[in-house]
Amino acid sequence: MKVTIKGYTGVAVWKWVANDDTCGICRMPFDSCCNDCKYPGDDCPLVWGQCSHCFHMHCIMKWVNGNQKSNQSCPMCRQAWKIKEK
Amino acid sequence: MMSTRTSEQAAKKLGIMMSSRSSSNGQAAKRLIIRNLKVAPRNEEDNFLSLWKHIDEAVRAIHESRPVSMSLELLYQSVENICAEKKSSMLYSALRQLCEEHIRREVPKLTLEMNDQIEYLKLLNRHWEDHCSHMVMICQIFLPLDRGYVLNNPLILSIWDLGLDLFKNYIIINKTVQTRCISGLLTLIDSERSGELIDRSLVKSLLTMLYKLQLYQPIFETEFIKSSEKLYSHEGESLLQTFEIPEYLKHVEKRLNEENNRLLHYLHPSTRQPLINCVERNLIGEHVNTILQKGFDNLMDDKRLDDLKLLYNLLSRFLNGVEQLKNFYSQYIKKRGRDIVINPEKDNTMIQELLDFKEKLDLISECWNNNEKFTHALKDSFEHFINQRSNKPAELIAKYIDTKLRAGNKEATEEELDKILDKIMVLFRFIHGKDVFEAFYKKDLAKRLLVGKSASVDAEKSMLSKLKQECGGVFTLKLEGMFKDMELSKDVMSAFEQQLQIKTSLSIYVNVLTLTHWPSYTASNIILPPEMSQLQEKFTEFYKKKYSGRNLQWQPSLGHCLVKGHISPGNNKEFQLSLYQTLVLLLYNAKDDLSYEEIFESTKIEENELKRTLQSLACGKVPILTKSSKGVDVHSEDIFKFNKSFTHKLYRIRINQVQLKETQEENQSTNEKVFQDRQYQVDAAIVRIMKMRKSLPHNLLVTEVVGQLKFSIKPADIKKRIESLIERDYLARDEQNPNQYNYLA
Amino acid sequence: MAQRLQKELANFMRDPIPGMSLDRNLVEGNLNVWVINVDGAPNTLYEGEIFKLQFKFPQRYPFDSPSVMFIGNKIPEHPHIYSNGHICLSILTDEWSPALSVQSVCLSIVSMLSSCKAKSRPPDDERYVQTCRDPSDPKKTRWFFHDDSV
Repeated sequence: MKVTIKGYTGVAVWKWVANDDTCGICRMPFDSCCNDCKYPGDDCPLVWGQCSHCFHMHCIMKWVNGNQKSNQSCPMCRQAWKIKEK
Repeated sequence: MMSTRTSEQAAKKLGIMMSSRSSSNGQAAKRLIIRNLKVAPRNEEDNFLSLWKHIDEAVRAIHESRPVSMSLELLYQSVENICAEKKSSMLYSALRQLCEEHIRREVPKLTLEMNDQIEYLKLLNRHWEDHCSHMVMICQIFLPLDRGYVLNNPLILSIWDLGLDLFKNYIIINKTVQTRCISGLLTLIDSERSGELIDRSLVKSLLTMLYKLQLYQPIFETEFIKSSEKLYSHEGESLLQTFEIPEYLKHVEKRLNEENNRLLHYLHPSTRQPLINCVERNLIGEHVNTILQKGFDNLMDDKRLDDLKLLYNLLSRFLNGVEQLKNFYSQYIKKRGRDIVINPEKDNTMIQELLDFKEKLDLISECWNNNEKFTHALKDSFEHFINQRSNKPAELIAKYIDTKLRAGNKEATEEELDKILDKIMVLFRFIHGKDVFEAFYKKDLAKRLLVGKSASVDAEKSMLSKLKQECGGVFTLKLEGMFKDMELSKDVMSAFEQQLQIKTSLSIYVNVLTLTHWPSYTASNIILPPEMSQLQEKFTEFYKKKYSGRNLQWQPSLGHCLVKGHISPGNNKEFQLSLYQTLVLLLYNAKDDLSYEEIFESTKIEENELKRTLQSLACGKVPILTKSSKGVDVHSEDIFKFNKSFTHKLYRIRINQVQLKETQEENQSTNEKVFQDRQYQVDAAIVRIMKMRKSLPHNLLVTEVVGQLKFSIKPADIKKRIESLIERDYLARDEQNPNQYNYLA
Repeated sequence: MAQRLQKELANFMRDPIPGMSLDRNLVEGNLNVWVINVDGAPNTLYEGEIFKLQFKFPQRYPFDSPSVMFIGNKIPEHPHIYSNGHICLSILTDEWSPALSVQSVCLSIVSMLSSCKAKSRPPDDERYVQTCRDPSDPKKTRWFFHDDSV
């Protein structure tokens, strides 16, 4: 017998490449979205800081923009918060 | 009052005198009086006697039904004259005496020995009719007396009433006459009740007589009801023994119609209430429980709509009748429903049977006269029995929907399908453990989307919106996410194909899933042929570039392939295979027989999966391999050989249904996942209750927990949770009473 | 905020800090105020003593810090704890981070108590207690910090 494959329909699950399971701010798993969103993925992306910590973008933005003292530090390590461009 | 009016009516009918008088005017009457005064003789006493002589003779003639020699007008004038001379009282007494004597003479004629009851009734009726017509004539002659003397003396009976009074007191009150009359009437009615034709006008006439004499109620009705009581109480007892319930109900209805007919034709309307009550009470009211016990379930089983409707109508006449009917209805639903859900051997047909049962109950609902209590009873009972078996109905409802929504199900048009889904939603509404449904529904939906190809996106979306409507957006959020992933994958794939410069002979399509939307799948590492793994790698690279920060994990158990198979010269087939099936068949490009061990080493497919895969290829409907050992079980010593003589009538063959089938492990893990989620809910309920109550004995706590939960749970499982909470210092056993728990604050 | 507090509550129950327990008489549905019973740790100056620590969560928690103070009649005698219950701890104000939690704040307070070598009140205790802006909310005070090492 000779068999040849013509088409392959595969299934893959995507996951964030993050150094932690949950967002340090909202405590939701990264595989889920932040409390304000419905769906994970493009609707609720993650951002990585230069310090290598990552958060839901919505969560870190609320911290960085909302703090009265305009505290620009990473909630995890208190280093200055700078987004790492990938 | 009544009798006076009737006498005037009777007079009008006869039409003598009265009509001539009413046509003449007041002037004529005056003239008459003047003439009378002229004729007035000298001696008043003599005058009365001479006038009376004529009158007396006329009345006697009337009584004997002979022609009256003198003209009625002259007689009338005589009466008028006597009245004018203020001798009214004398005239009245004389008339009274005359009538009384006549009636007395009549009595013996009616007390004669007589055997034929009907003949006797006819005789009595004749006397009565004669009496009436005599009295009508007398009244006309004596009209001036009635108008003057009687009207001015309220204690004096009108002439008509006088006649009735005499007839009553001399004839009907007579014991013999009365007994014969009443027993004759009752015999006639009895024979009519047993189906004979009777002279209804005779009965009606006599009953009217009794009514006019004000004897209907005291001497007839009481006896009549007594005899009806006797008849129907006996009938109820005996017919219930011999008749089937539908037959019996029909009989009751017939009886009620007959009695209503009697009321229409000869009984007085005042008898309606006691009579109908007597029939209903004796035939239905006394036997409600027996009737329901003997016949209700059968009526329901056989969908006897008319009989059920009749039963409802009959019972609705009694206090609690409908209530009792409703209780039997509830019990019936619970009993039959439980039979459907409780037996695991009947799981395959459970949902279809439930749908049929519900449809039948809906059909029968029209018998309950839109009574809301029955609507509630249906809901409550359905909810009760369907949750007697925990979890399984929810699981089976999900699976039933799966079979309806799967590709290849061509039983129904879109419209019919939608109707079926609506019906299934009704069952769904009754289910307490909706989480079980959700878990299985999600698992099946995932397979439909990824492997089985769902029958129709419209039907899927319509089902989704039904669920959303029923349970709210949170319930369907993840299910909607699954559809979203499918859409997104389409976009990703078209982008991927655009950047693939060279067309490969092997095409790839990838469904990229968001972890939290889908059931959790276990990852496994298998060995792919190089061209496949390269292609997978290419896609992964592409995806990571497009979505930075993400990685892909492949799920081989869900993959499937389109494969071209060259079996022998001229025998080419196209197969739709699971990825695992494909990997196994690819091995046969090199060799015609392979041992189980060889196959395992070359693919690294997990043992259970591999056995299932080999089974599907060697023991199914499409045996493309042959297995060395007999039977369907796969053993590790088995050798699998390529089946050279394989033929199939189709060119395109699907063997990947094996992926759609649910394995036992899968079923178990779906259930387990639900139960884990439930544990948190149980814990929370226990803590909530204990926080409020501070201290509770075991049984009460269990009862309250069961009351708070939306799914059913065994007391033993609650006990396990209580123990876990004790370990975690939320609760403690009471030191004196180990069956009592205290809340630790 | 409610979701995060729910999670914190669950965490607090699952991994309790030795010597700390939640006073479970929380008002159902109002997670915004917690009271935690603190047992003075063995082998410290506070062994055998029992204190009550109160957390109040603002609307914007965790982006704003909770206001945390000791309540009741027993206030630990500590150079950074005023006799009105206010605590001088940098992470509660300037150095607050949304990555902190009830648990991490509790741990800081436990270690602050455990590392204390001599019981005393802050030097400005009397003045502060009389003049602080709001005795019921230490967050209204503008703090400067004495010593991070204790």
